Parts: sequence; C-alpha cells; structure tokens
Amino acid sequence: MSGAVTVLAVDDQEVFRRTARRLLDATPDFELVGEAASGPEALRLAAELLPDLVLLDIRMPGMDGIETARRLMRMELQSTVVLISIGEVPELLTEPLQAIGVVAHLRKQDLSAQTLRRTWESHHAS
Amino acid sequence: MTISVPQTRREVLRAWTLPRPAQRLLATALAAALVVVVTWLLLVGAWRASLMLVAAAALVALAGLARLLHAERCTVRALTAEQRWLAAAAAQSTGELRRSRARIAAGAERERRRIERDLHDGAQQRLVALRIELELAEELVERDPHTARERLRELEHEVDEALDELRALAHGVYPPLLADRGLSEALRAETVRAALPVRVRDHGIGRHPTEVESAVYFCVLEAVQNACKHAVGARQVTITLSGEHDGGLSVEVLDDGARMPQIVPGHGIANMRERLVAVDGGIEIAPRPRGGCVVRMRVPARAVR
Repeated sequence: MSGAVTVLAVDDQEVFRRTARRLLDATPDFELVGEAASGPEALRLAAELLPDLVLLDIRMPGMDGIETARRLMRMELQSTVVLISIGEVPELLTEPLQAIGVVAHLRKQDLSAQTLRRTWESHHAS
Repeated sequence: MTISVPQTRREVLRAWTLPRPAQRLLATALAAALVVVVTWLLLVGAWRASLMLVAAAALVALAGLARLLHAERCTVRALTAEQRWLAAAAAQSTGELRRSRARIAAGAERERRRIERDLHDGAQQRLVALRIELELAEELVERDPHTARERLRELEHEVDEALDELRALAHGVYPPLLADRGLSEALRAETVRAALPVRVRDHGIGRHPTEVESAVYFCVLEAVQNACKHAVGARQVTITLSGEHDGGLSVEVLDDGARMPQIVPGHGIANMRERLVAVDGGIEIAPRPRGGCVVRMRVPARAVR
C-alpha cells in the first residue's frame, strides 16, 4: 500500500466519532483525516480533504447517510464510501448500494481493524 | 340544533293536553249540547230525539277525532325532531370519539418514536462504541498491559454512563418510585429539582391502576413545569392530591404568581388533556381570582376501578 488510507468519519454521535478515532489510531496504514457530524459537513470536508475512504453513518438528522452518499457520488471524488449503522441494513435503504455509490454496509458493532482492512482490500484488490 | 329530549316530552304532553280555557269551552259546549238534546226530547217526539242524539254524538266524536289527529300530528313532529337531534348528537359523539382515538394513537406513536430515538442516540451508541473499544483494549493487553488497564477503567466509566442513560429512559417511561410508592412520594421526589419550591399535600389519594397513576403523574409534572416557566412572580407551587368518596381521584396544581388575563392552551396542555381523556379523566385550567393559576384534574371511579 502506498501511503496510509485516509479516512473521513461521518456520524452525528460524538460517542461514535470518538470510537472511530481510537479505532483508526489502532489500525496500521489507516489515518483519520477528518470528522463530520452531519451530511452537509461531510460533503464540504470530502471536497476539501479528498479522503480515500468515507465511513458514513446512515441515520443522521437532516440529510441522512443515504442522501449524503448519493451526493458524494455526484461529486465524483473517487472516494470509497462505506455505510455504517447499528444492526442490519435499515429499511431506509431501498435501492442497491452500488446505485448510490456505496461499496459496502457494515454494522457498527462489527467495526474493527480487521473488518476495516478486509472491506478496503476487497474493493481495492488490484 | 335547538330541540332537546325534555323539550320534546313537554311538547308531546302539550299536544295531548288541552289548555284550561279550551277545557272550560269544551265543558260548556257539552253542557249546552245536553241542554239542547233534553229540550228537543221534551219538545219533539222520541224518534226525532234519537236522530238528534246520534247527530250530537257524531259531532262530539268528530271533534274528538280532529283533536286526536292534531295531537298525533304534533307528537309525530316532536318525535321526528327528537330523532333528528339524537342522530346528530350520536354522529357528533362518534366523530369526537374517532378524533380522540386518533389523537391518542398519534400520541402513543410519537412516544414510541421518542423512546426509539433516545435508545438509538443514547445507550445503543454507547454500547456499540464499547463493543469496538473492548476489542481494541483486548489487542492492547499483550502489547501494552499498563495502557490496556487504563483503557479498561475508562470503559468501566462508559458502561456506567450507558446504565445511567438506560435508567433515565426507563424513568421517563414509568418511574420506578411511582410503581413502588405511588403518586404522592413519586411527585415529591421528582419536584425537588423544580425551579420553584413545590409543596405536595396528600389528602389520602391512595393507589390506583398503573395507567391512571402514570397519566396523572406526567400531567402534574407538566403543570408544575408550566408554572415554573410562565407564572410571573410565583414563589411556590402547591400540589393537592385527593381521593374522592366514589373511589375516583382529583388533583390540583396551583401557583401564587401574578394574575393571568387569559390562558392560551398550547401543545403541553393538549398532551395533558389527551393523557387524561385516555383514562376517562378531564382537566380544567383557570386563573385564580387573587392571582396565579389553578390546574384541576379528575379521574372518575369507573376508570380507577
């Protein structure tokens, strides 16, 4: 891997953003470059930081993760977007992940250095 | 609709009863007819008298029949009006009942969503974060046992916070003290933290079904909160809890603030009303003559049983 994978963590919950910080600190070759607490903030930071990976919470007040993903896709930033949520894929998601530019959905409780790396590698095998 | 059931009954009675002057007139007419018949009997022969008797009887019968028909017509008119009034009243009650049920269902749905949102944003997030952090700490144990121990202590603190959030949420749904000790003690404990001093007077309210105590508890807290927020210059709020002779209960929440010109009901008051209506109760909010405001709530015995 050439350089660390830069990550933008998006979640309206401070508790979870703090955990994401610790998780990425403990994950070699991954680096947290930004945190956003809402969809609009995520769009702004993504355009500014051009992260390799966006960890995007589905359930947020106002612009939710699905709408944020859709807009990120339209911005054509080349970031890999992974949706995260508590539990299984929620009912909010009614279309295929690819249709909104998302490569995978992960349950928050399954997030670990291994799952993060595995998810990244499975979509960047080359 | 101007007609009422007692009014209909009065009208029916009037239709079948002759007024006093008419009674006198009828009696005079009958007496006169009798005199005429007797005179005829004396003056003319028996066969003519029989004819006259039959004619007089026919006249009286015709008058009676006319009166009967008139009374019938009045009765039918009054009963038709009553039937229309009853149908309109029934339609109105059904509409009110339907609207009230819809409001209660919507209120329950709002409450369910609030609880789900509180769980999602609170304890659930903390537990998920803990799950991830425990795994990180586990990895740290071999590499750096000292730091791992510190992290575990921090995580213990976060478990406590998650527990506090769950406890607060459960308290909002049904306060444990209310379940264990009843309205009086639960309200005393909860209002200690209110912005104004709150005095609770218990005149033997006793214990009641869960749904009744819960509705009254949250309505009283709302009333206290309103007093703390809106009663200008208030120094104290008094809650009086009473059991009624018929087994019902009544509660008064009053403040000693400035006299309020009028009370504009908002969402809070609408919620209180809904909660109480759901247990067949009612609420009344009024300014007090010498200042302040009084909120009266009552739940009748049939809901209490």
